[in-house]
Amino acid sequence: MDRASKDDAFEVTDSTDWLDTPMKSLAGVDAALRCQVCRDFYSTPMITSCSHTFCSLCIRRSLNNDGKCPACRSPEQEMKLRNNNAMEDLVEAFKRGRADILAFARIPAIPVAPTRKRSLEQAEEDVEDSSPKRRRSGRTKSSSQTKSSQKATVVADSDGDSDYSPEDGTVECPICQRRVKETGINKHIDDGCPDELQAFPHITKPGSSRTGSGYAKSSIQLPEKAIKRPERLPQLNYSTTKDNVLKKKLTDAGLSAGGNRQLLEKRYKEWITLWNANCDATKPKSKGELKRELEIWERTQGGRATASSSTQMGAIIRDKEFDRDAWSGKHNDDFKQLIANAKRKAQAKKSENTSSANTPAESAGTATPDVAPTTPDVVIGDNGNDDPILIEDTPEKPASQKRFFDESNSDPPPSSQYQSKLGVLDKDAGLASDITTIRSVQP
Amino acid sequence: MSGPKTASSRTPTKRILTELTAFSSAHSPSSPHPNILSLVPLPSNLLSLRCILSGHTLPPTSGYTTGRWLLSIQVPPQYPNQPPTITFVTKICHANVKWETGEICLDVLKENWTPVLGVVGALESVVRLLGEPGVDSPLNVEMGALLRQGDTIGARGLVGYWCGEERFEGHLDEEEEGGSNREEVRGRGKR
Repeated sequence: MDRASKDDAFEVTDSTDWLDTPMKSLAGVDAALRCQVCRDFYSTPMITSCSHTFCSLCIRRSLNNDGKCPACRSPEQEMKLRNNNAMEDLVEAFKRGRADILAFARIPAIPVAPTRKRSLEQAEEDVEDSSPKRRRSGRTKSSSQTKSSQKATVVADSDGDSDYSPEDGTVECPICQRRVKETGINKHIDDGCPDELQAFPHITKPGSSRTGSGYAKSSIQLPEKAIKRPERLPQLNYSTTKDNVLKKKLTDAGLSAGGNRQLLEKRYKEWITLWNANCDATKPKSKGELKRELEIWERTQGGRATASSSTQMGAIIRDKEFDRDAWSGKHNDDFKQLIANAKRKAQAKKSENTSSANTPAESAGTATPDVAPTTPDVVIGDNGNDDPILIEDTPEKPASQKRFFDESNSDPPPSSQYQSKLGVLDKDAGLASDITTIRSVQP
Repeated sequence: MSGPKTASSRTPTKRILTELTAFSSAHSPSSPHPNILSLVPLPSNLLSLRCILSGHTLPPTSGYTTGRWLLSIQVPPQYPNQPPTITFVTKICHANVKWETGEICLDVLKENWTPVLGVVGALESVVRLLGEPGVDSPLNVEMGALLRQGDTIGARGLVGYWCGEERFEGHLDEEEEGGSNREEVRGRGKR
C-alpha cells in the first residue's frame, strides 16, 4: 500500500506501462480505472446522470466550467452526481496490487514451457483468469468452459484450505466444495447445494492475501462510514453578492480575502469545489489539508499563477528565491552576445562623441541621448533576460546609464529607436522562445 | 487510500506529463503515430509543446499529402478544463487556418472542447480538419472563396504548392530543441 502511494507521488504511472510486458491486455483494465479528465486513477469516483464516471474533483471543476459532461457533452448538474462505490473499491484494490503485478510482469518469462507463446498464455492465465477474450472463447464450447471453471474453483479452494483451520464449526461440502455449517450439512446436500455465498463470503472467495486484507479493511471501514460527512457548501450567486459579503465568506472559511473581485470569486468557487469534492470522499480530509490544496491551486491557477506569464517574468526574476545561477548558465550565450553588442555600440557612440563634441559643455549635453542606444538591453531585460551579469559586465557606463539599468522595469524613453520592436517582444508568448526573438530583433 | 491524493496531482503539468508518457510509450519509433510525428515540450516549460504533423495519410484529393508542419501548443493553467491553444508555425494554406498567424478555427479547440480530448486528441482533430475544411467560417478568405466556388482543382493546386514550398524539414528532439528553433528562424529569414 505504501509503495502504491509512493508511485502515485513520484512516478507517472500510465496504462501503457503494460504494453511492453506479456500482460498487454491489462492496459485496458488499467485505462478503464482511470478518470478521463485527470488521466489518473479515480479518486472518489462519481457517476453522472449520463452514466459516465469521473473523480469528484475533476467533474465538479469541469461542471463549474461549462456545466456539461466531459465525455458526452450532455448537460449535467453537480446535484445529480452520485458516488460510484464499486468503482472506488475496484480502483483501490487494483492500485494496491498494481506494483506487484507489474513487477511480476516485467520479469522475463522463465523458459519452462515448451514455446514462448505458451508461457505467455500461461502467465496471462495466472493473473487474469477472466480476460474477455478467454471468456468468449470459453462460451463457444460450453462443456470445456464449465470443466475449466470447476477446476479453477477447486484449485482456489484447496489453496485457501491449506492455511485455513475450520474452527467455526463448518465442513466442506463434498459436492460443491463450499464451507457449510456442520449442523446443516445434511440439509445442504438434501437441498441440492443452495448458494450460501452470503453466509461465508470470505471463504468462498479465491483465497489470496490481497482479497483477505481487502475484506479485513472493509470490515474496519464500516464504522467509519457511519461518521457524519461534512456538509456541502451551497453555490453562491456571484452576480448578486456584494464584495464585502464575499470577503466575509472567505475570511469566515479562513481563506485569504486579497486580490480583485474576479480573483475572490475564483478562489471561493475553487474552495466550494474542493470542499464539496471532499464531502464525497470515504475518508474526508481535514480543513487544513484542503487549505493546502487551495494554496496549490493559488500557485498554479489562481492569483499567483498569472505572474508566471511572460509579461511579468521580470517580477519573478527579481524575486529573492529566483535561481540566478541556473538562469545565467542557461542563457549564457545570449548574455554574451548582448554584452558584445552593447560594447560595440557603446564604443561606436563614444568615438562619435569624442570626434563631434570637444567642449565639456557640449559633451554634458549629449550625455542624455547616450542612453538611447543602450536601451535594447533594457527592453530585452523587461521581457525576461534581466540578469545581474549583464548589468555588471557592461563596461564604462556613465552615471545616467547606470541608473537606467538598475531600474530595469522602467519603460525605455520614447525616443528609443527600438521602441517599435517592443510590440514584437510583448507579443512573444513563451519565455523559452526568447532566443529566437532576440535573433530576429537584432538588426 | 483515497485520501492521500492531493489536488497537486491534478495540475495541468501532471496531466500533460501523463499524456506525453502515454503518447511516447504507445507510439514507439517502431510504430509511430500516423500523423503526429513528434510531440515534445520545450525544455524550459512543460506547458509549451511543439509538434510535427504529417499529412501523408490524408486523401490525395485534399492536396495535403506531401505536407509536414511544425505546430506550437500552449497549455493554459486551467487545462484540461480550458482547451490548449494550437497554432501552425509552418505556414499552411487552409480555409480554416489564418495564413498570417497560423491560428486554427476549430470548434473542438474553442467552445466544443472537452477535457476528455487531450492534446493528442486535439491534434488528431486538427489533422481531420485538414482533410475536411469547413467553408462556412473561413479564416483564410481566399481559400474559402475558392472552395465555395467549387474550384477544387485550383484549391488543390494551391494547397499542394504551399505544402511543398513551406514544408518543415526539421526534427524535434528534446535535446536539439534550440537547434531546430534556430534553423526554422533562419529558414524564414531567407524568404
